[in-house]
Parts: sequence; C-alpha cells; structure tokens
Amino acid sequence: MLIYADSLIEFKWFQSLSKDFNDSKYIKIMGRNENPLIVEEIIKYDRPDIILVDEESQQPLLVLEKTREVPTGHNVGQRTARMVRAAEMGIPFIFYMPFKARKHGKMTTILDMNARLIKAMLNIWEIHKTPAILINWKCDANGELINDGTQNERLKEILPMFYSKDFVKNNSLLARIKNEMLNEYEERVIEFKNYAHPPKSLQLYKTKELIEAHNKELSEKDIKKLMIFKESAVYKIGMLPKSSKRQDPYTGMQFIYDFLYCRVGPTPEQKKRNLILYFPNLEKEFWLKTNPDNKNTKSSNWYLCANGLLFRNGYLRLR
Amino acid sequence: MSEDEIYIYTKEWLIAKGYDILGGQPPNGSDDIPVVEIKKEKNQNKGSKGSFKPDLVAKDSKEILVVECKPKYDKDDEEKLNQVLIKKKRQQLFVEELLQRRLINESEKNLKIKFCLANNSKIAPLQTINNIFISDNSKECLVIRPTNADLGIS
Repeated sequence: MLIYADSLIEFKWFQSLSKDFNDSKYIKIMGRNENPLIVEEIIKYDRPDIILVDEESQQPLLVLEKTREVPTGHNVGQRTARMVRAAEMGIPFIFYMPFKARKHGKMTTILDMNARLIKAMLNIWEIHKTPAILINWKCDANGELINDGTQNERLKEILPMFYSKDFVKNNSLLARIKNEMLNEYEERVIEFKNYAHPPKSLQLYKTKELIEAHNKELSEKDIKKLMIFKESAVYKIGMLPKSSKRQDPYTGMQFIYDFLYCRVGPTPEQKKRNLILYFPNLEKEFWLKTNPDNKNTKSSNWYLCANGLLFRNGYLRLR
Repeated sequence: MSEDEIYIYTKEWLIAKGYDILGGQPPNGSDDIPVVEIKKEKNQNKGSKGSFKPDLVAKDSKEILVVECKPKYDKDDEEKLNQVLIKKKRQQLFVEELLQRRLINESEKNLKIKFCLANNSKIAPLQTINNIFISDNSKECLVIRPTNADLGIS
C-alpha cells in the first residue's frame, strides 16, 4: 500500500498503526498540479493528512484527517471540504480528533465539540453512501489528550477493514460505528440543546421573504431560480473588505450547513432549501476580484455548493 | 535532511538518551504530544499572541530541554532561544504552563531549563545554546555544548 501524507511525521504516525503498513512507501502530498491524477482529484478542494492507496490497482482506500483541536465554534469547518471531497469520490473518510479536551491558558477550560459536526457527517455518509467516520481522541480526567499509545486503539481496530479485499460499505462494523456516532450526537444534544437548532450565523427564511428583503439585488432569473425552493438557509458571513481574501473556515462551514439543512442528494443541486452565502459588508465587484472562481486556488471553494452569493449591492447566482 | 527528519531523529535521540518527551510542535502536521507555549511576559493574558511554541520539550531528572529543529544551523532560532534564556519571567510562565498541563510535578518545577538547537550542522560551540548535531545514523549524533559550561546539557 502507498501512504500519501501531508508530512513525514503524519506518515510515521499512520504507519505505526498497523504492521500491514511496514513496507508502505511514503509519498508526500505536493501542491496542486504536482501529484498523480488520483491524488489531484482527492485534494481538489483541500489537502487531507493521509491518503491510503492500493499500490497494485492505484485505487484510493481511505482518506484520514487528524487534529489535536476540539472542533468548536467556527474551526469546525476548517477540515470539512476535504472530507466532502472524499465522500463525493466514494472514498471512506476518517476524522480523528478529540470530542473534548482542555484548552490551556489563563482561562483554562474543557472544550466540548460542536455536535452539529457529527450530524453533518452522518448526513454526508447517508447521502453519499460512503463512510464519514468520527473517531474520538480521548482525554484523561484533567482534559489532557491521552498520548500513551492507547489513544490509537480504536483506529487500529477499524483500519484493516478498509484495505480488506472483502470490504463493503455496509458491513456490520460500519453500522455499529454509525450507531455510535448517532448516540454521541443525541447525547450531546440533550446536554447542549442549542446544537439541535441552526446557529446564529445561519437563518432559515421563507424564500419569498428573502426575495422581498433583497429585491434590489436580484434579477428576474435569480428570483425564478430561488423560487424553486420554498425555503432558504442564509449563512451570514461578516467578512470585511480588508480580510475578505480568505476561505477558512467559511467554505468548510458552508458544507456543514448544506448537509445539515439543505442537501438531499449527492450533487449540490439536490437540495430541499436554497443555501445562500450572505456578505453584508462586501460588494459584488470587489468579491469577484478578490475571490474569483479560479480552479487552481482555494478561492474556487466558494463556488462549490451554495445556490448563490448575496452581497450588499448584488447577487451572484451559482446554480 | 528535511525539517521533518530533523524533528523525528531529534525526538528519537532524546528518548534514547533517557529524556521524556513532554511536548512540542512539529514543523509540519501534528504529533501526538501536547503543544506547549513560552509566552511573552507582556502577552501572558492575551492568548498565544507573541508566544513561541518550541519544536520539542523534554525532561530528565536534572533538566528541562527546549529544542528548536531546523535542517541547518539557524541564527534566528538561536536568538529566539536567547531571548527566553535572558528572561526569567518567561521561563517562569513556561514552567507554570508545564505544571498546569501536569507535564511536570511540583518537585520538578525548579529543574534547570537548557536551550538547544537541533540540526545537521557541525558548528563551533555557541556561547549559550547547545547545538545537537543530528544524523540519520544515531551513532553520529552529538551535542556541541556552549562555551558557557553552566548552560550545557548534562
């Protein structure tokens, strides 16, 4: 097997998870347009930490992302695009990260993950019929991440399934993992009730009301397209002009909101609601200069799943 | 050698020499060890602004090591370590962080902190900072201790 990795350190860590990887070669994931075609396709939106590839067939077996950060607030979205890309290609994805851990500093506290991520991953799994798995990097009673080697046990247990010749995406182990994720989500929603509802940055509107409020920015064709869906989810992004040439974490969050509140099928057109990205502080012309749909840069991620981008002086219809 | 390789071999060398790895931040990607910070004394209440995250932090029964890894000797890293060496307050904040994270215990809080560069450069001894010459052949790794003998690692 070949292990494409973002760094030698992550390769060494991943290789240590199974003796089956002892002879696996390390191949660094390079920048865009510098990798084999299959890797280029996987990193189209964003670079994951690990891509496991069958050397003989050159087929990707698994994409994995590892982080020490508890996904809270907006940082939940930082790694979502790479996960969605794997699912779109039918490649199982594992997101290995702490569900809770201590944040250090003067105001030290235990952080708990944003449960919406679990639900979004379950929806991605369901819609793309491809495992999108969350594995908890456990912490001790003080909230410190465990690093005595036992933290990797769960990963070690499930990894062999992905390179087994008999692997199917609906086996009993995957069903159990999915069920564990669902239980985790439900328990967290009982404890943190706000996660059952959209966050403040995402408002649900009747599409008619949205059109009335932004009539000046919309053309007849825009309105016709928007009216396909009775409801719209509007993700308000408060970026200012001086900080508008960026993607993280917003382009990842759009996927989370799409899969939580809009998406019903594998393509971005298959929705039950419009997804609108709303930039109240930016003008359309300025946006097109700073964040064009250039496939060679990450700014193209802004154009991947929303129905349109709404600015203070205009609207950009995407689909 | 790449920065990643220097990091990996330095970590292996420290473990072989009997040090416990307490934390650090690899040059690329993420490792299993905690990321610790040496804060600037003026920014101690302002999150991580102005603070510095050592590549590796290790301890044995005599000392705590702060290590910066680069493929070749790096003057800026030497200066960065010297800035901590001369500021007792920053060292104190660092020890407090290690205590808060339970990476050291109360009895270890007075261990002397020593500062090291790790690279693939065989250089003349520096004045205050240790230089660990790192090779992929562990037998060739060696410590070039500073001219100020009190600051040399044991």
